[in-house]
Amino acid sequence: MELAEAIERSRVNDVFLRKGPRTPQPGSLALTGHHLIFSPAVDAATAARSPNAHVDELWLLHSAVDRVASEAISRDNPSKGGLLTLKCKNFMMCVFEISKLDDCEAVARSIETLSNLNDVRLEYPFFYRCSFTVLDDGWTAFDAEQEFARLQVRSDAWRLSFVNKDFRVCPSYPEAVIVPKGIGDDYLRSSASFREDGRFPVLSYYHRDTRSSILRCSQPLVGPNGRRSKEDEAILNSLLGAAAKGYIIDTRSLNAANSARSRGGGSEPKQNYSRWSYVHRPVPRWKELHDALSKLVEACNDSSASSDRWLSKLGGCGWLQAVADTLTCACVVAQCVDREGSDDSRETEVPVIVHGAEGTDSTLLVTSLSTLLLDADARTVRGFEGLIEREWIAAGHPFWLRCAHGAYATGAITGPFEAPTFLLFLDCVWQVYQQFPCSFEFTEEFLIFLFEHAYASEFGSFLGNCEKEKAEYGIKKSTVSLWSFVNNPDVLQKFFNALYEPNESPLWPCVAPQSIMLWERLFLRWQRDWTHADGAQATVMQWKSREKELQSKVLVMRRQLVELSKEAQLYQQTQLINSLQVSDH
Amino acid sequence: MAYSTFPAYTEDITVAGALLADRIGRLFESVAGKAPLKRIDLESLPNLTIKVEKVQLIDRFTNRSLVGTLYVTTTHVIFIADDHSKEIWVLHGLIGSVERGSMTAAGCPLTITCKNFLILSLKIARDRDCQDLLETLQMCSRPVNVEEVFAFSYVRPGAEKDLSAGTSSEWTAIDLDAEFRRQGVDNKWKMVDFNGEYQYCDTYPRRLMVPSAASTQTLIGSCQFRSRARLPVLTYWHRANSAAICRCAQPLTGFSARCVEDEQLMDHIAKANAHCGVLHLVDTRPRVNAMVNKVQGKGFEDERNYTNMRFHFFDIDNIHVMRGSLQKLVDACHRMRTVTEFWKGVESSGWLRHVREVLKCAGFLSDSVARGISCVVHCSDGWDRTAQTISVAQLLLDPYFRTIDGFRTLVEKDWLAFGHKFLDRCGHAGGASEEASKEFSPVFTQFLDVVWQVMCQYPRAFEFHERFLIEVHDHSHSGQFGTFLGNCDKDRMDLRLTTRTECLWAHLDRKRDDYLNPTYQPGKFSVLVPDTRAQAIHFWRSMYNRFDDGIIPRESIDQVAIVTLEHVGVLEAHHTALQARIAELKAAMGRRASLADSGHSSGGGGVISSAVGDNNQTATLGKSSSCWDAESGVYDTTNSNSLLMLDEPELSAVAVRWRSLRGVVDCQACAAHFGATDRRLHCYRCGSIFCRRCLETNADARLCKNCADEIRPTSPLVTSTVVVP
Repeated sequence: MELAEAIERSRVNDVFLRKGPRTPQPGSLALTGHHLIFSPAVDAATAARSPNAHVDELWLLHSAVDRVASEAISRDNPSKGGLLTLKCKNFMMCVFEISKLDDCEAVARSIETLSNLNDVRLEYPFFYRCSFTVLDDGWTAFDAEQEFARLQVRSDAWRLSFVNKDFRVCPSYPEAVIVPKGIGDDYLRSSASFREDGRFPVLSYYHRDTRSSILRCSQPLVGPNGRRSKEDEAILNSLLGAAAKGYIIDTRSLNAANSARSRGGGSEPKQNYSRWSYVHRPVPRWKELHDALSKLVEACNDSSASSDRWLSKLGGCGWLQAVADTLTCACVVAQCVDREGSDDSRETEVPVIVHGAEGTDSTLLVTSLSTLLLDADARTVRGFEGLIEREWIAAGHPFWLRCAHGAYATGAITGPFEAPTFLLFLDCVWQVYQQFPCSFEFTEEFLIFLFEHAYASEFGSFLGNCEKEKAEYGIKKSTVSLWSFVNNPDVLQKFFNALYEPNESPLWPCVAPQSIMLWERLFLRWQRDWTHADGAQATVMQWKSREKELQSKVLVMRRQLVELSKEAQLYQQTQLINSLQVSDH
Repeated sequence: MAYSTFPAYTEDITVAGALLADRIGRLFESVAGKAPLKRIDLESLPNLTIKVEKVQLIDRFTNRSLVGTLYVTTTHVIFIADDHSKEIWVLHGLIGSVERGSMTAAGCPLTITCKNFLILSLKIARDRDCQDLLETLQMCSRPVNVEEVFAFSYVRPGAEKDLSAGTSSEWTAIDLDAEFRRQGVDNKWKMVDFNGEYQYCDTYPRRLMVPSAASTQTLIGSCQFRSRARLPVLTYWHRANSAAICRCAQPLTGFSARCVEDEQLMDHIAKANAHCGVLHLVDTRPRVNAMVNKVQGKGFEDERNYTNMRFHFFDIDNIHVMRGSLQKLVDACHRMRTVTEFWKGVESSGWLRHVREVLKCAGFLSDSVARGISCVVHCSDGWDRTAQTISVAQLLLDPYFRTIDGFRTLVEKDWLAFGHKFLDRCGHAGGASEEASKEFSPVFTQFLDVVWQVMCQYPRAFEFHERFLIEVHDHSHSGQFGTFLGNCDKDRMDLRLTTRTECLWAHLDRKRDDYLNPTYQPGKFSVLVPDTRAQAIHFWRSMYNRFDDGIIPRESIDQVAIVTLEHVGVLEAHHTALQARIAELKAAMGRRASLADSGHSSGGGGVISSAVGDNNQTATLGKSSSCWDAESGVYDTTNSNSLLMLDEPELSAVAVRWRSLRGVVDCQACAAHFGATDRRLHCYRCGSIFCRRCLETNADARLCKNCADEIRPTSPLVTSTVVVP
């Protein structure tokens, strides 16, 4: 399909922006294959004054639009024109008044089609021309071999396996994965055949302090007949080594795990995995999340709601509960890794295995969050990028399916696979951030930036569902990585947190209901005037940088002062000698 | 006079109380559970009434228990863990309720709920002890007579002399005249003395501001038509457009009564504002409540009887609803385990809805006034909802009320002077009678909550930090200071509080820098427009959950900000001093300062400094640079030999790096535990963190004892004969 075919009107005049990120104003709309462009009407006088008026244009990616609606302004009188409502994936709403109703409908149809492309290769990142010099290519910045090299310095219990070369063993894994050293590729293959979608256990995080590790996989295909895999058991047992026991954290409830068993899945049975403690820590399934988010966003947008209605929706929509559950589970995993070892004087390592069903949603949520809690590096900008690249993108979280739509719609063409799992992850990170605002190298702005780019972007990082698709579509060759952009010093500057003080110790966030807050910057971003909060924050950041500046200046001056006094002393001595000499004569 | 005021009642218990108060005063400064002392011998305290050992303190969240000893003195309840890991001090005045459960194998549960939202869940081993405790605490926490309140026996450390002389120099009375002068009230208004002996209205102040055109006859007439004679008087005058806010109580209209004088007075009020003839009359009650009052011969004004008046109702419920609401809110934030349950609890408490209604009404008032329309506000008696709404409205309108001094003025004026019944509402006295418990209501707490909501929306518009509100809240209940005792001006006069008790504001003033908001930008904001959407009203976690250590974040931007601000101030001064010193040395050696590279490098910094420096707090927080110049000036004139000293005091006077706040849980000198929101203070010289008691604070430095000792002998006394040309 040619994108141009979908465009019925490339330009519509006489448009009024009624609601959106700008003040209400007249202008015109233009449609391109990937963007909707609103240009404010410029009267001659203004044009003369500021010839760069086009910078005021509003560019909106079609893929950022979640839901399009077109309706007549007045039902009785279609000649009054139409209202074009665009609800975006970042929760922004734009309403345009268009003077002709058919123009309005035509534009709506075009956007509907263009925002629901089902061919990755038509997406904007393939057409985006990089406007900056790439200093640090994001596609190669976080590859598995470097990752492994770093790990090897800390522990030699692991090896890099290429068993998944050409994605033959597990389509949703990358080609190189880190596995226990003593395990051969044949064992991995057998284990893959015993786990859903071939997701055999791989290393997710190695905790240096306690030598404990977090591994992730998908559910074992135990099934109603109680299948078992000796090889899979061997892999898990090899992890135990000296450890007395390990933990398997299931992100499903006991019931869910049992009913999965009747459908061919299940959980590792005690008799076959005798040295493992099995813990159920239910985290909401991805299917429930979409609903929760929709309800929350609807409540946030309802500016005329009564307090009771707002509070009942806020508590009842399930989103904050999902955040609390996810964080709790991540804390449990982190605690297994950190506390188990250190409280005990024996300092034994404790392997923790995390899985849910498919191992591509809640599993990744939990492993990535636990890593964030445990690993100070993951709380730097670069470490966080690495975490997302490793634990989300390479680990096979189906971004393309999950982010096809946001809070306002479910995909008709792409199928109902939408779920804000990644947003939930970012929200959980934000919760930790707001409890430890000095332990993160980045600010919440970075999280919001990532949220927007996961849903609609000019960069290819979140395209496709896994590494395999990335390879098939040549995404890494034809598009620019998001990290190439972020790691530009100018861009990076925006995301730095001036209050950051590196914090080596693990973070233990509070998960009491009062501590789980609504991420207002994100959910009420378009409803509230943020200038005052921003101003206050900027003031603090300003103080902080002034402090740093003064510190270094003072140190320099002190050194100077010491040198000067030495000189002065010398000078005075010579003066003294001179005067003595004079009196001698 | 000096003698007549002091011990009108020198009973043994008072003396003992004073003794203890003195000791405690030295040990800890404030009321609530601060635990500075480690090994005090409590048993030697003269007025210990009960001591119970092997008491378990149960943590609600973890259910873990801590074994310790519970002491009840004549003034405090004190829990000290056997391993000294925790100490909790609670003034009797802060105890809200005490309940016991039935005996179990693990002990007898006893719950002490405090007015500052601290809840102590205890298990007492013996049933008998539990019963004793229950009875004693109930008795202590609700004195029948106001003169039994702690304030009358509390002696500020170092103030014994003042008190025995019968004067407490720290009391400064609020001067309403001065406040109205500050507001710039024009000659359309006059101050009248007709209530000079409280003969007409005993819950109002003596001097009242009324329209100049109103005769005394009119005023007296209006008094008779208003509930408790609380006639409409001026409380705020908006300089920009001469619109006014007046307050009163409901009229005694019943179903049809009217009063010509009252109508005249309203007309005068409307006309005092030359720009706009319309008057907004705001009844903060829901219409239904106002209708019910009609049956009792009270009610609301009939729009038809008053010229040019627009009548508005608001939905703020009465004190009984608020009491129940806060109770439910506190239950929700202490009992609910899941997010869903918690928010359900918050919703059903209705607290945020009530807070929002107050804010909405205040927003309406400030909007009206900002548009030039005068408002007259009343509720039933005009001392609860009226006080709330008009004081928030003034806070929105006038930046002065958003400063520490202004806030004090606001509370003194609209709450204390105009008769908010603190004694009853905060339960200072009155025993455990049913009537007393019906008068108890968190109206003032709710006001502070609304202020906090506005602070959240305008974080740069307030000079004070939420800590200030919390402190004021606690002391409005604690009974440690005389400020909030009594129900009205007249009560406070009769009790002779200024000579017999300490003043809260003076106490707060001593810790003023604790309460500063680091992001305050004076002069930037004039009239604030609050966002009153439901989404903008927040649950005030650091108020209602502040004793739950885990819930208050361990890293706080505010804490970091205030420390940074102070450090910047200190460094700035130090920088200036160094600069001066370098220039001096260079000059002394006959060099030109212009050769100096440092002089230039700081030029760029100056720009930033002035950009940041419009926040004028640097000077108040940090060492002022002038004193440093003075100091170096001394060097310059008295002796030049000090030029040669390599251990320049400047080099070590200030720590370039201050200790990070992270992980600091107690004072490095006395090991007193910091509460989650307590301010951590740095010693300027060594950069370590201490509590206020362990620092010597003077005009330009805060030093820990070690640093102070080190500095003393090295004061520049050297004399020299060598003169550098």
